[in-house]
Amino acid sequence: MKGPDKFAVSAAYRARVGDLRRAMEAADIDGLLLYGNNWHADFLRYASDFGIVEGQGLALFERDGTVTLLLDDPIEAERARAETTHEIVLADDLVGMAKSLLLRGGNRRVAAAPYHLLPYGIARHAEELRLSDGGKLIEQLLMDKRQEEHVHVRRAAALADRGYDIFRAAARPGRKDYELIAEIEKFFRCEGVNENFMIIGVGGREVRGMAPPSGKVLKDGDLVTTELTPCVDGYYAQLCRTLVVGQPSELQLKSFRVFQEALDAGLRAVRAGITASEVAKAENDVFRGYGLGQYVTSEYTRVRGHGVGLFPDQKPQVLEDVTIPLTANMTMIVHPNTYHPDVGYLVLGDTIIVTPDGHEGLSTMPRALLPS
Amino acid sequence: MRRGLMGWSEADLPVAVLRKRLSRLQEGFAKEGLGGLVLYTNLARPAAVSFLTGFTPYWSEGLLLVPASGEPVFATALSKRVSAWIRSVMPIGSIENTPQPAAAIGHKLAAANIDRVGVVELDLFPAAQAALLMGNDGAVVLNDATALFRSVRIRVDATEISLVRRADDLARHCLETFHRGDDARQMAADIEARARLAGAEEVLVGVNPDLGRSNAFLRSDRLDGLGEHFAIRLSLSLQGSWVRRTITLSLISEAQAMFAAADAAFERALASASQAAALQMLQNGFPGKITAWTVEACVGSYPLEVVRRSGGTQAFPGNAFSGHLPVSVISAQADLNGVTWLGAGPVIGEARP
Repeated sequence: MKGPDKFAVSAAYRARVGDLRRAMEAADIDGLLLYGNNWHADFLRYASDFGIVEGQGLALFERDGTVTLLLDDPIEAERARAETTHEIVLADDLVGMAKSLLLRGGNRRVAAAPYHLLPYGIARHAEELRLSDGGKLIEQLLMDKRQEEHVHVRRAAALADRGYDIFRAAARPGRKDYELIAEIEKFFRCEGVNENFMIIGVGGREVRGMAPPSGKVLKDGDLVTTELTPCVDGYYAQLCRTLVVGQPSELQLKSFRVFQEALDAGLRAVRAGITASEVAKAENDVFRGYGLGQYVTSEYTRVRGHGVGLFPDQKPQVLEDVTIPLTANMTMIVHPNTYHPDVGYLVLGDTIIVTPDGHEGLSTMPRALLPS
Repeated sequence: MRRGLMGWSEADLPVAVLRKRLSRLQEGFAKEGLGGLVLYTNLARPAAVSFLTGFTPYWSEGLLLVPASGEPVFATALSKRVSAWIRSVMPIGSIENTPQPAAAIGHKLAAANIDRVGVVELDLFPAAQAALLMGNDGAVVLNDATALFRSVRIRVDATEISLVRRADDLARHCLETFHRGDDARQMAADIEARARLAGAEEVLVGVNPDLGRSNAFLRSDRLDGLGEHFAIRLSLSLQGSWVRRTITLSLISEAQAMFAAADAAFERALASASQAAALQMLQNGFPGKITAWTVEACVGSYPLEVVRRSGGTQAFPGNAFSGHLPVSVISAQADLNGVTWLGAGPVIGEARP
């Protein structure tokens, strides 16, 4: 497989193609139809290595590894022609052209994923198109990681650390929250990072979570929470940190120690073979030990970590009721982020690689409540 | 994801304007026999819900139910903790945080004995949401209501015109003031930062580093050196209103003069009262041969989508409207004595009462 011009096909994509072909053979599937947009780009990216920005796309991945990529935006189609060797179809009518493509394939078995996002105009003809739900076939592949994929996650994690330094230096009294993000986005673009999942919280006890920037002005004593999630060659790594504008107070430091302890407990629990539930319980038990049990419920927090890879928030979600087992080489973040009643919302988390005996941390950023 | 400034202000997007848009839409329900209308949103397709409520999701997805009368209901998979933020950027309607937005909307339809709803862009509606909306027994019939929505959407009001003009002013400013050099990545990053620092909600920059090789606009990860002639494409939004601008640059002074003449002619065309008049000017009064063009507009859930393009294709499905679009973006490609020139910019007309 050779990429056009100077764009070499990555070892990670070659590994994914091999894994996908083997999975399709085992499941006796002839073709896999993958849907994607800029929110859920992961399934499409897994099979095509194309990172979609605008519009919607469908990739038909054949068992022999060939890919037909249907894109409904002409500029995206032109970019795909430059970046990949796939057959690219500019689909003014995405649904109609996908149906025609599937019908041309004749009597064969095609699975689709993520099925819940598949356009209804295709799904309602599933029987005629011999289409089934291919989620199970590819979801495990998305969760498990090859060492070829680790290369990109490691680089993303390193860039998250460097990006956080930029963010921290930008966090000064009088600056607006979106200005901090503008600076970090500039850094990421200069480093060749196209995408970054990032939300922010600024303030004190009134802050219950993170959201996009709203124009809030930083002032001394504010807690500034963020999760940086840069994407390198399609792979995300996340870093969650909290800083204080100026110097942290004793109360802020004391409150933060619960989060440091919870992160340590969660990370100590991680190893291949245990479930996501056990990691969540280890984190949450620390909060419960301090009488903060109500703050680990869905009223105050969403998850206690999650997988990272071609999607910034992929399975397994680290929750006490999620029994998905962790496997060696899986990449994930452990983050006991939640509200603390004394000081407000706090975050702390690192991306790791799961190993047979524990984990390998990918961040070198101190796990501390940092001054700006 | 969206990570620029996301906000709402009464001055920029008055609630009265949103209510007017909603009531115009609701006026069409009876004729279509609809008990309500459902619109889907995610960050790739936020525009229809944004038009009616001002809301754009930074992540995840949601559904807006517009009942035959009264306030809309926004059901979203964004968690309850994000409700306060949603409220701060969506000044109209109620909010329901639920892992299954369509199920929540389905319950509301059942409670109101509504068995037929319109869905904007039904064929593109996510399969799982459609199944939940219809219910296990198919109690709710889904009708495609794209044409109905579009008939309201294309009546662009003065509020939208104002936002688009501001977005375009910002785009032009960024492209006029960025730090020029020989590193495509640095230039793209500088343009993006200027837009974000000025409060853009989202910014997408693509660079065609060598017009002699390809017509593709690449992202940062694929950029390094520059050819003799290159182009930069900037797309940005302010409060849900998107514009695009493309400029062509050259390292060769002779070509710079040629491009400047093309730019001036292109700007004159963009200043036309309509996209049809602009296209006419490009075909007849451009210092070179126009080899391809597209017209984009916001007519549904996409921020901008191709509604017409050269080669005879009328990409605008449904034929609900074939004439004047008050706001559109024209992208054009021209051959200037064997050198490729690319340009894009909005044609901003008058509001349609």
